[in-house]
Amino acid sequence: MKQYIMKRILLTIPLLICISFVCFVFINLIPSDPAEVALRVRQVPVITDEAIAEVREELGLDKPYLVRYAGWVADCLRGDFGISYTNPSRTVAGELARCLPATLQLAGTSLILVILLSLPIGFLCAVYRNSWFDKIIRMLVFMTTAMPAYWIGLLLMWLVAIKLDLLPTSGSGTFSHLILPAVTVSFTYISTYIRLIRNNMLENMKQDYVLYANVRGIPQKKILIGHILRNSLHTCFVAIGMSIPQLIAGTIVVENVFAWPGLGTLCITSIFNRDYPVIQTYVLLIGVLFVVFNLIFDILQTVADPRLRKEAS
Amino acid sequence: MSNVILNVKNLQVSVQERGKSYTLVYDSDFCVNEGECLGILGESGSGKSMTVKSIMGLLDTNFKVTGEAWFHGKDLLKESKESLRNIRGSKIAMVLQNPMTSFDPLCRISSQIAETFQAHTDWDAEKIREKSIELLEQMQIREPLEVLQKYPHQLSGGMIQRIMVGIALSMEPDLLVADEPTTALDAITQHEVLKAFREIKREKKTSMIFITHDLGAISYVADRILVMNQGRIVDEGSFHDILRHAKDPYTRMLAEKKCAVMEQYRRVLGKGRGML
Repeated sequence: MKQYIMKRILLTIPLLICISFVCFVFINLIPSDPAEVALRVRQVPVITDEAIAEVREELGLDKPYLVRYAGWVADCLRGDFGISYTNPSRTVAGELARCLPATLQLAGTSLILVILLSLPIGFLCAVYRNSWFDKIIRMLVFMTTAMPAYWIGLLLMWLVAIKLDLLPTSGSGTFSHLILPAVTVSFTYISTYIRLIRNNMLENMKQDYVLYANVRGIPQKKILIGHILRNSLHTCFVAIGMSIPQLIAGTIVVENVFAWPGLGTLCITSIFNRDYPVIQTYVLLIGVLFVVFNLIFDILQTVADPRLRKEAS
Repeated sequence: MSNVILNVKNLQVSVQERGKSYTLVYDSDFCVNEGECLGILGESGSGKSMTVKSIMGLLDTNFKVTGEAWFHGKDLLKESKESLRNIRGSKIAMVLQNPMTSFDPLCRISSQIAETFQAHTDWDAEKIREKSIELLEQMQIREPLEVLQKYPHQLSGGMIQRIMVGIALSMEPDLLVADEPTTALDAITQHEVLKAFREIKREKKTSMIFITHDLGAISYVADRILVMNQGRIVDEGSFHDILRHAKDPYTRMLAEKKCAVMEQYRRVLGKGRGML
Protein backbone atom coordinates (compact mmCIF):
# COMPACT_ATOMS: atom_id res chain seq x y z
CA MET A 1 0.00 0.00 0.00
CA LYS A 2 2.74 2.46 0.99
CA GLN A 3 4.61 1.53 -2.14
CA TYR A 4 1.53 2.18 -4.23
CA ILE A 5 1.04 5.62 -2.70
CA MET A 6 4.70 6.50 -3.24
CA LYS A 7 4.45 5.41 -6.85
CA ARG A 8 1.37 7.52 -7.42
CA ILE A 9 3.04 10.57 -5.85
CA LEU A 10 6.18 10.16 -7.98
CA LEU A 11 4.07 9.84 -11.10
CA THR A 12 2.61 13.29 -10.53
CA ILE A 13 6.03 14.97 -10.90
CA PRO A 14 6.28 14.75 -14.72
CA LEU A 15 2.65 15.83 -14.87
CA LEU A 16 3.39 18.92 -12.79
CA ILE A 17 6.38 19.81 -14.99
CA CYS A 18 4.17 19.60 -18.08
CA ILE A 19 1.50 21.75 -16.48
CA SER A 20 3.94 24.44 -15.41
CA PHE A 21 5.58 24.55 -18.84
CA VAL A 22 2.35 24.71 -20.82
CA CYS A 23 0.99 27.33 -18.47
CA PHE A 24 4.13 29.46 -18.82
CA VAL A 25 4.30 29.18 -22.62
CA PHE A 26 0.66 29.90 -23.24
CA ILE A 27 0.58 32.96 -21.09
CA ASN A 28 3.68 34.35 -22.70
CA LEU A 29 2.06 33.91 -26.08
CA ILE A 30 -0.54 36.57 -25.24
CA PRO A 31 -0.04 39.19 -27.98
CA SER A 32 0.71 42.39 -26.12
CA ASP A 33 3.66 43.81 -24.32
CA PRO A 34 3.29 43.44 -20.57
CA ALA A 35 5.88 46.16 -20.05
CA GLU A 36 3.79 48.67 -21.93
CA VAL A 37 0.62 47.64 -20.08
CA ALA A 38 2.45 47.88 -16.77
CA LEU A 39 3.49 51.44 -17.53
CA ARG A 40 -0.07 52.33 -18.48
CA VAL A 41 -1.52 50.82 -15.33
CA ARG A 42 1.07 52.66 -13.26
CA GLN A 43 -0.24 55.80 -14.93
CA VAL A 44 3.05 56.92 -16.42
CA PRO A 45 2.08 59.94 -18.53
CA VAL A 46 4.34 59.49 -21.56
CA ILE A 47 5.37 55.99 -22.60
CA THR A 48 8.75 56.23 -24.29
CA ASP A 49 10.81 53.41 -25.77
CA GLU A 50 13.41 53.92 -23.05
CA ALA A 51 10.80 53.61 -20.34
CA ILE A 52 9.53 50.36 -21.86
CA ALA A 53 13.06 48.98 -22.09
CA GLU A 54 13.64 49.95 -18.49
CA VAL A 55 10.50 48.20 -17.26
CA ARG A 56 11.41 45.14 -19.33
CA GLU A 57 14.71 44.93 -17.59
CA GLU A 58 13.03 45.52 -14.25
CA LEU A 59 10.56 42.70 -14.84
CA GLY A 60 13.17 40.41 -16.37
CA LEU A 61 11.39 40.28 -19.72
CA ASP A 62 14.60 40.86 -21.69
CA LYS A 63 15.95 37.43 -20.85
CA PRO A 64 15.31 34.41 -23.15
CA TYR A 65 12.25 32.21 -22.76
CA LEU A 66 13.71 29.11 -21.18
CA VAL A 67 15.84 31.09 -18.75
CA ARG A 68 12.73 32.89 -17.61
CA TYR A 69 10.85 29.61 -17.31
CA ALA A 70 13.61 27.98 -15.28
CA GLY A 71 13.88 31.01 -13.06
CA TRP A 72 10.13 31.07 -12.54
CA VAL A 73 9.93 27.37 -11.63
CA ALA A 74 12.87 27.70 -9.24
CA ASP A 75 11.18 30.66 -7.57
CA CYS A 76 7.86 28.83 -7.36
CA LEU A 77 9.51 25.89 -5.64
CA ARG A 78 10.82 28.28 -3.03
CA GLY A 79 7.31 29.62 -2.58
CA ASP A 80 8.10 32.91 -4.26
CA PHE A 81 5.59 33.50 -7.03
CA GLY A 82 6.93 36.89 -7.99
CA ILE A 83 5.63 40.40 -7.77
CA SER A 84 2.59 41.76 -9.54
CA TYR A 85 3.63 43.67 -12.71
CA THR A 86 0.99 46.29 -12.28
CA ASN A 87 1.37 46.83 -8.59
CA PRO A 88 5.00 46.27 -7.52
CA SER A 89 4.18 46.74 -3.86
CA ARG A 90 2.20 43.49 -3.83
CA THR A 91 3.45 39.94 -4.10
CA VAL A 92 1.49 37.40 -6.13
CA ALA A 93 1.35 35.03 -3.18
CA GLY A 94 -0.13 37.79 -1.06
CA GLU A 95 -2.75 38.60 -3.68
CA LEU A 96 -3.81 34.96 -4.01
CA ALA A 97 -3.88 34.49 -0.25
CA ARG A 98 -6.10 37.54 0.05
CA CYS A 99 -8.63 36.22 -2.50
CA LEU A 100 -8.48 32.49 -1.77
CA PRO A 101 -10.71 32.41 1.37
CA ALA A 102 -13.64 34.03 -0.46
CA THR A 103 -13.39 31.51 -3.29
CA LEU A 104 -13.03 28.58 -0.92
CA GLN A 105 -16.09 29.78 0.97
CA LEU A 106 -18.09 29.95 -2.24
CA ALA A 107 -16.81 26.62 -3.58
CA GLY A 108 -17.27 24.90 -0.22
CA THR A 109 -20.85 26.08 0.17
CA SER A 110 -21.58 24.99 -3.39
CA LEU A 111 -20.09 21.56 -2.77
CA ILE A 112 -22.24 21.07 0.31
CA LEU A 113 -25.30 22.18 -1.66
CA VAL A 114 -24.42 19.78 -4.47
CA ILE A 115 -24.05 16.80 -2.15
CA LEU A 116 -27.10 17.62 -0.02
CA LEU A 117 -29.39 18.05 -3.01
CA SER A 118 -28.18 15.66 -5.69
CA LEU A 119 -27.78 12.65 -3.43
CA PRO A 120 -31.38 12.35 -2.18
CA ILE A 121 -32.89 13.49 -5.48
CA GLY A 122 -30.78 11.06 -7.53
CA PHE A 123 -31.61 8.29 -5.07
CA LEU A 124 -35.36 8.94 -5.25
CA CYS A 125 -35.24 9.18 -9.05
CA ALA A 126 -33.65 5.73 -9.23
CA VAL A 127 -36.01 4.17 -6.69
CA TYR A 128 -39.12 5.62 -8.32
CA ARG A 129 -37.86 5.48 -11.87
CA ASN A 130 -40.30 6.49 -14.58
CA SER A 131 -42.67 7.99 -12.01
CA TRP A 132 -43.85 11.58 -12.47
CA PHE A 133 -41.22 12.72 -9.94
CA ASP A 134 -38.43 11.11 -11.93
CA LYS A 135 -39.77 12.50 -15.20
CA ILE A 136 -39.99 16.07 -13.91
CA ILE A 137 -36.51 15.91 -12.40
CA ARG A 138 -35.09 14.48 -15.60
CA MET A 139 -36.63 17.32 -17.57
CA LEU A 140 -35.17 19.89 -15.15
CA VAL A 141 -31.79 18.18 -15.30
CA PHE A 142 -31.91 18.32 -19.07
CA MET A 143 -32.71 22.03 -19.00
CA THR A 144 -30.19 23.09 -16.39
CA THR A 145 -27.38 21.16 -18.06
CA ALA A 146 -27.95 23.26 -21.14
CA MET A 147 -28.03 26.59 -19.25
CA PRO A 148 -24.69 28.36 -18.81
CA ALA A 149 -23.85 29.40 -15.23
CA TYR A 150 -23.63 33.14 -15.89
CA TRP A 151 -27.09 33.13 -17.41
CA ILE A 152 -28.55 31.23 -14.47
CA GLY A 153 -26.78 33.79 -12.28
CA LEU A 154 -28.37 36.71 -14.08
CA LEU A 155 -31.81 35.06 -14.04
CA LEU A 156 -31.58 34.39 -10.31
CA MET A 157 -30.36 37.91 -9.69
CA TRP A 158 -33.25 39.35 -11.66
CA LEU A 159 -35.85 37.14 -10.00
CA VAL A 160 -34.68 36.84 -6.41
CA ALA A 161 -32.77 40.07 -5.89
CA ILE A 162 -34.62 42.54 -8.06
CA LYS A 163 -38.20 41.33 -8.50
CA LEU A 164 -38.64 39.69 -5.09
CA ASP A 165 -36.03 41.84 -3.37
CA LEU A 166 -35.06 39.02 -1.01
CA LEU A 167 -31.29 38.96 -1.33
CA PRO A 168 -28.56 41.43 -2.30
CA THR A 169 -27.51 41.37 -5.97
CA SER A 170 -23.77 41.45 -5.40
CA GLY A 171 -20.92 41.92 -2.99
CA SER A 172 -19.87 39.84 -0.04
CA GLY A 173 -19.66 39.85 3.72
CA THR A 174 -22.86 38.35 5.06
CA PHE A 175 -24.47 34.97 4.59
CA SER A 176 -27.22 36.44 2.43
CA HIS A 177 -24.57 37.59 -0.05
CA LEU A 178 -23.37 34.02 -0.35
CA ILE A 179 -26.68 32.35 -1.24
CA LEU A 180 -27.17 33.47 -4.84
CA PRO A 181 -23.62 32.86 -6.10
CA ALA A 182 -23.45 29.49 -4.34
CA VAL A 183 -26.76 28.36 -5.82
CA THR A 184 -25.61 29.50 -9.25
CA VAL A 185 -22.32 27.64 -9.05
CA SER A 186 -23.92 24.45 -7.75
CA PHE A 187 -26.79 24.40 -10.27
CA THR A 188 -24.96 22.65 -13.12
CA TYR A 189 -23.20 20.27 -10.76
CA ILE A 190 -26.43 19.27 -9.09
CA SER A 191 -27.93 18.17 -12.39
CA THR A 192 -24.77 16.30 -13.36
CA TYR A 193 -24.73 14.45 -10.07
CA ILE A 194 -28.43 13.66 -10.03
CA ARG A 195 -27.93 11.98 -13.39
CA LEU A 196 -24.75 10.24 -12.28
CA ILE A 197 -26.25 8.84 -9.08
CA ARG A 198 -29.51 7.85 -10.76
CA ASN A 199 -27.80 5.99 -13.60
CA ASN A 200 -25.26 4.40 -11.31
CA MET A 201 -28.00 3.11 -9.04
CA LEU A 202 -30.04 1.75 -11.94
CA GLU A 203 -26.91 0.03 -13.23
CA ASN A 204 -26.27 -1.50 -9.81
CA MET A 205 -29.87 -2.66 -9.47
CA LYS A 206 -29.30 -5.06 -12.36
CA GLN A 207 -26.37 -6.73 -10.63
CA ASP A 208 -26.49 -10.30 -9.38
CA TYR A 209 -25.83 -9.28 -5.80
CA VAL A 210 -29.12 -7.37 -5.71
CA LEU A 211 -31.01 -10.41 -6.97
CA TYR A 212 -29.26 -12.56 -4.40
CA ALA A 213 -30.06 -10.10 -1.60
CA ASN A 214 -33.71 -10.34 -2.66
CA VAL A 215 -33.45 -14.12 -2.78
CA ARG A 216 -32.33 -14.09 0.84
CA GLY A 217 -35.30 -11.93 1.80
CA ILE A 218 -33.33 -8.87 2.85
CA PRO A 219 -35.70 -5.89 3.37
CA GLN A 220 -35.88 -3.52 0.38
CA LYS A 221 -34.71 -0.51 2.38
CA LYS A 222 -31.56 -2.28 3.43
CA ILE A 223 -30.79 -3.44 -0.11
CA LEU A 224 -31.30 0.07 -1.47
CA ILE A 225 -29.23 1.95 1.10
CA GLY A 226 -26.78 -0.64 2.34
CA HIS A 227 -25.89 -2.19 -1.00
CA ILE A 228 -27.08 -0.32 -4.09
CA LEU A 229 -26.45 3.22 -2.86
CA ARG A 230 -23.18 2.25 -1.26
CA ASN A 231 -21.88 0.69 -4.45
CA SER A 232 -23.08 3.65 -6.53
CA LEU A 233 -21.36 6.15 -4.24
CA HIS A 234 -18.09 4.35 -4.75
CA THR A 235 -18.27 5.17 -8.42
CA CYS A 236 -19.35 8.75 -7.80
CA PHE A 237 -16.60 9.24 -5.25
CA VAL A 238 -13.82 9.99 -7.73
CA ALA A 239 -16.10 12.25 -9.75
CA ILE A 240 -16.84 14.27 -6.61
CA GLY A 241 -13.12 14.47 -5.90
CA MET A 242 -12.48 15.89 -9.33
CA SER A 243 -15.34 18.34 -8.93
CA ILE A 244 -13.66 20.11 -6.02
CA PRO A 245 -10.90 21.77 -8.11
CA GLN A 246 -13.47 22.22 -10.86
CA LEU A 247 -15.69 24.12 -8.45
CA ILE A 248 -12.77 26.30 -7.35
CA ALA A 249 -11.82 27.05 -10.95
CA GLY A 250 -15.39 27.26 -12.16
CA THR A 251 -16.28 30.15 -9.90
CA ILE A 252 -14.50 32.61 -12.27
CA VAL A 253 -17.57 33.58 -14.25
CA VAL A 254 -20.00 33.52 -11.36
CA GLU A 255 -17.69 35.57 -9.14
CA ASN A 256 -17.65 38.26 -11.79
CA VAL A 257 -21.41 38.24 -12.21
CA PHE A 258 -21.93 38.69 -8.47
CA ALA A 259 -18.80 40.83 -7.84
CA TRP A 260 -17.54 38.21 -5.41
CA PRO A 261 -14.01 39.22 -4.34
CA GLY A 262 -12.39 35.84 -4.90
CA LEU A 263 -9.75 34.28 -7.12
CA GLY A 264 -11.97 34.49 -10.20
CA THR A 265 -12.33 38.24 -9.97
CA LEU A 266 -8.61 38.59 -9.32
CA CYS A 267 -7.85 36.44 -12.35
CA ILE A 268 -10.09 38.41 -14.71
CA THR A 269 -8.64 41.75 -13.53
CA SER A 270 -5.14 40.37 -14.00
CA ILE A 271 -5.97 39.20 -17.51
CA PHE A 272 -7.15 42.70 -18.43
CA ASN A 273 -3.99 44.20 -16.92
CA ARG A 274 -1.69 41.60 -18.56
CA ASP A 275 -0.38 40.86 -15.09
CA TYR A 276 1.53 37.73 -16.16
CA PRO A 277 2.81 36.54 -12.76
CA VAL A 278 -0.69 36.55 -11.26
CA ILE A 279 -2.30 34.75 -14.23
CA GLN A 280 0.52 32.24 -14.39
CA THR A 281 0.31 31.47 -10.73
CA TYR A 282 -3.48 31.20 -10.86
CA VAL A 283 -3.38 28.74 -13.77
CA LEU A 284 -0.60 26.79 -12.09
CA LEU A 285 -2.54 26.71 -8.83
CA ILE A 286 -5.64 25.31 -10.52
CA GLY A 287 -3.56 22.76 -12.43
CA VAL A 288 -1.86 21.63 -9.24
CA LEU A 289 -5.22 21.42 -7.47
CA PHE A 290 -6.49 19.06 -10.16
CA VAL A 291 -3.44 16.84 -9.89
CA VAL A 292 -3.50 16.82 -6.10
CA PHE A 293 -7.22 16.07 -5.79
CA ASN A 294 -7.00 13.39 -8.42
CA LEU A 295 -4.18 11.81 -6.43
CA ILE A 296 -5.96 12.11 -3.08
CA PHE A 297 -9.21 10.59 -4.32
CA ASP A 298 -7.48 7.82 -6.22
CA ILE A 299 -5.68 6.82 -3.06
CA LEU A 300 -8.83 7.17 -0.94
CA GLN A 301 -10.75 4.99 -3.37
CA THR A 302 -8.06 2.37 -3.28
CA VAL A 303 -8.26 2.36 0.49
CA ALA A 304 -12.06 2.18 0.47
CA ASP A 305 -12.55 -0.54 -2.15
CA PRO A 306 -11.46 -3.99 -1.01
CA ARG A 307 -10.90 -5.13 -4.62
CA LEU A 308 -8.54 -2.26 -5.44
CA ARG A 309 -6.82 -2.60 -2.08
CA LYS A 310 -5.74 -6.08 -3.04
CA GLU A 311 -4.35 -4.96 -6.39
CA ALA A 312 -2.41 -2.13 -4.80
CA SER A 313 -0.71 -4.19 -2.14
CA MET B 1 -48.07 -40.15 -3.36
CA SER B 2 -46.45 -38.23 -0.55
CA ASN B 3 -47.32 -34.68 0.47
CA VAL B 4 -47.11 -32.02 -2.20
CA ILE B 5 -45.05 -29.08 -1.01
CA LEU B 6 -45.36 -26.79 -4.01
CA ASN B 7 -48.19 -27.03 -6.48
CA VAL B 8 -48.08 -24.79 -9.53
CA LYS B 9 -51.11 -24.49 -11.79
CA ASN B 10 -51.51 -22.66 -15.09
CA LEU B 11 -48.45 -20.52 -14.52
CA GLN B 12 -48.01 -17.99 -17.27
CA VAL B 13 -45.34 -15.27 -17.36
CA SER B 14 -45.29 -12.44 -19.86
CA VAL B 15 -43.27 -9.27 -20.15
CA GLN B 16 -44.46 -5.84 -21.21
CA GLU B 17 -42.04 -4.05 -23.44
CA ARG B 18 -42.72 -0.87 -25.41
CA GLY B 19 -46.45 -1.51 -25.32
CA LYS B 20 -46.09 -5.08 -26.60
CA SER B 21 -46.54 -8.17 -24.51
CA TYR B 22 -44.35 -11.25 -24.94
CA THR B 23 -45.16 -14.53 -23.26
CA LEU B 24 -42.12 -16.25 -21.76
CA VAL B 25 -43.68 -19.17 -19.89
CA TYR B 26 -46.87 -20.81 -21.19
CA ASP B 27 -49.46 -22.45 -19.03
CA SER B 28 -47.20 -24.58 -16.85
CA ASP B 29 -48.38 -27.12 -14.29
CA PHE B 30 -46.04 -28.97 -11.99
CA CYS B 31 -45.59 -29.91 -8.39
CA VAL B 32 -42.81 -30.76 -5.98
CA ASN B 33 -43.34 -33.54 -3.44
CA GLU B 34 -41.90 -33.59 0.03
CA GLY B 35 -38.31 -34.79 0.09
CA GLU B 36 -38.18 -34.97 -3.68
CA CYS B 37 -35.71 -33.33 -6.00
CA LEU B 38 -37.37 -32.02 -9.13
CA GLY B 39 -34.98 -31.28 -11.97
CA ILE B 40 -35.89 -28.72 -14.59
CA LEU B 41 -33.92 -29.24 -17.76
CA GLY B 42 -33.70 -26.91 -20.73
CA GLU B 43 -31.37 -24.72 -22.71
CA SER B 44 -30.83 -21.04 -21.90
CA GLY B 45 -33.87 -18.92 -22.65
CA SER B 46 -36.29 -21.82 -22.28
CA GLY B 47 -37.94 -20.15 -19.29
CA LYS B 48 -36.69 -22.40 -16.50
CA SER B 49 -35.23 -19.63 -14.33
CA MET B 50 -38.18 -17.42 -15.17
CA THR B 51 -40.55 -20.06 -13.82
CA VAL B 52 -39.01 -20.19 -10.35
CA LYS B 53 -38.31 -16.47 -10.18
CA SER B 54 -41.95 -15.73 -10.91
CA ILE B 55 -43.08 -18.04 -8.13
CA MET B 56 -40.74 -16.36 -5.66
CA GLY B 57 -41.79 -12.85 -6.64
CA LEU B 58 -38.34 -11.93 -7.88
CA LEU B 59 -39.40 -10.47 -11.22
CA ASP B 60 -39.57 -6.79 -12.04
CA THR B 61 -42.88 -4.94 -12.16
CA ASN B 62 -43.03 -5.07 -15.97
CA PHE B 63 -43.52 -8.85 -15.82
CA LYS B 64 -47.06 -10.19 -15.58
CA VAL B 65 -47.55 -13.47 -13.76
CA THR B 66 -50.85 -15.35 -13.74
CA GLY B 67 -51.90 -18.72 -12.36
CA GLU B 68 -51.53 -20.27 -8.93
CA ALA B 69 -48.59 -21.47 -6.89
CA TRP B 70 -49.63 -23.18 -3.65
CA PHE B 71 -47.05 -23.46 -0.90
CA HIS B 72 -48.09 -24.26 2.68
CA GLY B 73 -51.70 -23.27 2.01
CA LYS B 74 -50.74 -19.92 0.53
CA ASP B 75 -50.95 -18.89 -3.09
CA LEU B 76 -47.52 -17.30 -3.54
CA LEU B 77 -48.66 -15.32 -6.57
CA LYS B 78 -51.25 -13.48 -4.47
CA GLU B 79 -49.15 -12.84 -1.37
CA SER B 80 -48.02 -9.34 -0.43
CA LYS B 81 -44.43 -8.26 -1.06
CA GLU B 82 -43.61 -8.29 2.64
CA SER B 83 -45.04 -11.76 3.16
CA LEU B 84 -43.07 -13.07 0.16
CA ARG B 85 -39.91 -11.46 1.50
CA ASN B 86 -40.45 -13.33 4.75
CA ILE B 87 -40.88 -16.61 2.91
CA ARG B 88 -37.82 -16.04 0.72
CA GLY B 89 -34.63 -16.94 2.47
CA SER B 90 -36.41 -18.79 5.27
CA LYS B 91 -39.07 -21.16 3.92
CA ILE B 92 -37.90 -21.14 0.29
CA ALA B 93 -34.19 -20.68 -0.18
CA MET B 94 -32.36 -20.30 -3.43
CA VAL B 95 -28.86 -20.77 -4.79
CA LEU B 96 -27.84 -18.77 -7.86
CA GLN B 97 -25.64 -19.58 -10.79
CA ASN B 98 -22.93 -16.91 -10.54
CA PRO B 99 -21.45 -17.24 -7.07
CA MET B 100 -18.66 -14.72 -7.75
CA THR B 101 -21.01 -11.85 -8.58
CA SER B 102 -23.82 -12.74 -6.22
CA PHE B 103 -22.20 -11.21 -3.15
CA ASP B 104 -21.82 -7.48 -2.68
CA PRO B 105 -18.14 -6.84 -3.48
CA LEU B 106 -17.86 -4.13 -0.81
CA CYS B 107 -19.12 -6.19 2.14
CA ARG B 108 -17.37 -8.90 4.10
CA ILE B 109 -18.83 -12.40 3.99
CA SER B 110 -19.69 -12.13 7.69
CA SER B 111 -21.91 -9.09 7.20
CA GLN B 112 -23.74 -10.69 4.29
CA ILE B 113 -24.45 -13.82 6.28
CA ALA B 114 -25.47 -11.70 9.27
CA GLU B 115 -27.97 -9.62 7.31
CA THR B 116 -29.68 -12.80 6.15
CA PHE B 117 -30.10 -13.89 9.76
CA GLN B 118 -31.26 -10.43 10.79
CA ALA B 119 -33.91 -10.44 8.10
CA HIS B 120 -35.55 -13.59 9.45
CA THR B 121 -34.71 -13.89 13.14
CA ASP B 122 -34.18 -11.67 16.16
CA TRP B 123 -30.86 -13.19 17.13
CA ASP B 124 -28.26 -11.01 18.81
CA ALA B 125 -24.75 -10.43 17.48
CA GLU B 126 -23.24 -13.28 19.49
CA LYS B 127 -25.73 -15.85 18.27
CA ILE B 128 -25.36 -14.65 14.68
CA ARG B 129 -21.63 -15.15 14.95
CA GLU B 130 -22.02 -18.63 16.36
CA LYS B 131 -24.49 -19.60 13.67
CA SER B 132 -22.28 -18.15 10.92
CA ILE B 133 -19.35 -20.27 12.03
CA GLU B 134 -21.59 -23.31 12.32
CA LEU B 135 -22.87 -22.70 8.79
CA LEU B 136 -19.38 -22.60 7.32
CA GLU B 137 -18.29 -25.66 9.27
CA GLN B 138 -21.26 -27.59 7.98
CA MET B 139 -20.23 -26.77 4.44
CA GLN B 140 -16.76 -28.10 5.26
CA ILE B 141 -15.05 -24.78 4.86
CA ARG B 142 -11.70 -24.73 6.60
CA GLU B 143 -10.79 -21.85 8.92
CA PRO B 144 -14.30 -20.40 9.06
CA LEU B 145 -13.20 -17.51 11.28
CA GLU B 146 -10.85 -16.27 8.61
CA VAL B 147 -13.29 -16.82 5.78
CA LEU B 148 -15.88 -14.69 7.58
CA GLN B 149 -13.50 -11.73 7.51
CA LYS B 150 -12.84 -12.08 3.79
CA TYR B 151 -14.34 -10.15 0.90
CA PRO B 152 -16.04 -12.13 -1.89
CA HIS B 153 -13.23 -11.59 -4.42
CA GLN B 154 -10.75 -13.19 -2.04
CA LEU B 155 -12.51 -16.56 -2.16
CA SER B 156 -12.78 -19.14 -4.92
CA GLY B 157 -15.96 -19.80 -6.90
CA GLY B 158 -16.51 -23.21 -5.39
CA MET B 159 -16.03 -21.89 -1.87
CA ILE B 160 -18.49 -19.06 -2.40
CA GLN B 161 -20.95 -21.47 -3.97
CA ARG B 162 -20.72 -23.65 -0.88
CA ILE B 163 -21.22 -20.61 1.37
CA MET B 164 -24.29 -19.79 -0.70
CA VAL B 165 -25.64 -23.30 -0.22
CA GLY B 166 -24.84 -22.97 3.47
CA ILE B 167 -26.78 -19.71 3.76
CA ALA B 168 -29.69 -21.29 1.91
CA LEU B 169 -29.79 -24.24 4.31
CA SER B 170 -29.14 -22.25 7.49
CA MET B 171 -32.77 -21.23 7.87
CA GLU B 172 -33.89 -24.84 7.35
CA PRO B 173 -36.07 -24.16 4.33
CA ASP B 174 -38.86 -26.46 3.18
CA LEU B 175 -37.87 -25.92 -0.41
CA LEU B 176 -34.43 -25.32 -1.86
CA VAL B 177 -34.24 -23.91 -5.37
CA ALA B 178 -30.93 -24.26 -7.17
CA ASP B 179 -30.74 -22.16 -10.33
CA GLU B 180 -27.92 -23.61 -12.43
CA PRO B 181 -25.64 -23.87 -9.41
CA THR B 182 -22.90 -25.68 -11.32
CA THR B 183 -22.84 -23.79 -14.61
CA ALA B 184 -20.18 -21.25 -13.66
CA LEU B 185 -17.89 -23.78 -11.99
CA ASP B 186 -15.07 -25.97 -13.30
CA ALA B 187 -15.50 -29.75 -13.49
CA ILE B 188 -13.94 -30.60 -10.13
CA THR B 189 -15.81 -27.93 -8.19
CA GLN B 190 -18.99 -28.92 -10.02
CA HIS B 191 -18.63 -32.42 -8.70
CA GLU B 192 -18.09 -31.17 -5.16
CA VAL B 193 -21.16 -28.93 -5.28
CA LEU B 194 -23.29 -31.72 -6.75
CA LYS B 195 -22.13 -34.03 -4.00
CA ALA B 196 -23.14 -31.42 -1.44
CA PHE B 197 -26.63 -31.29 -2.97
CA ARG B 198 -26.97 -35.06 -2.88
CA GLU B 199 -25.98 -35.10 0.76
CA ILE B 200 -28.56 -32.45 1.57
CA LYS B 201 -31.17 -34.59 -0.10
CA ARG B 202 -30.13 -37.67 1.80
CA GLU B 203 -29.60 -36.16 5.23
CA LYS B 204 -31.98 -33.23 5.54
CA LYS B 205 -34.68 -34.54 3.19
CA THR B 206 -35.17 -31.01 1.90
CA SER B 207 -37.38 -30.75 -1.16
CA MET B 208 -35.51 -29.29 -4.09
CA ILE B 209 -35.92 -27.76 -7.49
CA PHE B 210 -32.73 -28.18 -9.45
CA ILE B 211 -32.48 -26.13 -12.63
CA THR B 212 -29.79 -26.91 -15.17
CA HIS B 213 -29.03 -27.44 -18.84
CA ASP B 214 -26.62 -30.22 -17.97
CA LEU B 215 -28.05 -33.73 -18.35
CA GLY B 216 -25.11 -35.12 -16.40
CA ALA B 217 -25.70 -32.90 -13.38
CA ILE B 218 -29.43 -33.52 -13.37
CA SER B 219 -29.00 -37.30 -13.54
CA TYR B 220 -26.87 -37.08 -10.42
CA VAL B 221 -29.39 -35.34 -8.15
CA ALA B 222 -32.91 -35.30 -9.60
CA ASP B 223 -35.64 -37.86 -8.84
CA ARG B 224 -37.97 -36.55 -11.49
CA ILE B 225 -37.26 -34.31 -14.45
CA LEU B 226 -39.23 -31.66 -16.32
CA VAL B 227 -37.95 -30.68 -19.74
CA MET B 228 -38.67 -27.11 -20.84
CA ASN B 229 -38.38 -25.75 -24.34
CA GLN B 230 -39.35 -22.26 -25.46
CA GLY B 231 -41.44 -21.54 -22.40
CA ARG B 232 -43.37 -24.82 -22.35
CA ILE B 233 -43.02 -27.97 -20.30
CA VAL B 234 -42.53 -30.56 -23.03
CA ASP B 235 -41.66 -33.70 -21.11
CA GLU B 236 -41.76 -35.16 -17.64
CA GLY B 237 -40.45 -38.34 -16.07
CA SER B 238 -37.50 -40.07 -14.47
CA PHE B 239 -34.01 -39.73 -15.91
CA HIS B 240 -34.33 -43.13 -17.51
CA ASP B 241 -37.66 -42.16 -19.15
CA ILE B 242 -36.21 -38.96 -20.51
CA LEU B 243 -33.14 -40.67 -21.89
CA ARG B 244 -34.83 -43.71 -23.44
CA HIS B 245 -38.52 -43.08 -24.06
CA ALA B 246 -38.90 -39.35 -24.54
CA LYS B 247 -42.19 -38.36 -26.16
CA ASP B 248 -41.06 -34.96 -27.27
CA PRO B 249 -38.70 -34.58 -30.26
CA TYR B 250 -36.76 -31.81 -28.52
CA THR B 251 -36.07 -34.01 -25.51
CA ARG B 252 -34.99 -36.85 -27.80
CA MET B 253 -32.57 -34.52 -29.54
CA LEU B 254 -31.18 -33.34 -26.20
CA ALA B 255 -30.65 -36.92 -25.05
CA GLU B 256 -29.12 -38.01 -28.36
CA LYS B 257 -26.68 -35.12 -28.39
CA LYS B 258 -25.64 -35.91 -24.85
CA CYS B 259 -25.13 -39.58 -25.75
CA ALA B 260 -23.06 -38.56 -28.78
CA VAL B 261 -20.85 -36.39 -26.60
CA MET B 262 -20.46 -39.23 -24.09
CA GLU B 263 -19.57 -41.63 -26.91
CA GLN B 264 -16.90 -39.24 -28.17
CA TYR B 265 -15.59 -38.81 -24.65
CA ARG B 266 -15.33 -42.57 -24.17
CA ARG B 267 -13.58 -42.98 -27.49
CA VAL B 268 -11.00 -40.36 -26.65
CA LEU B 269 -10.57 -41.86 -23.21
CA GLY B 270 -10.13 -45.35 -24.73
CA LYS B 271 -7.54 -44.06 -27.18
CA GLY B 272 -5.70 -42.34 -24.37
CA ARG B 273 -5.57 -45.58 -22.41
CA GLY B 274 -4.39 -47.50 -25.44
CA MET B 275 -1.50 -45.15 -25.87
CA LEU B 276 -0.47 -45.47 -22.28
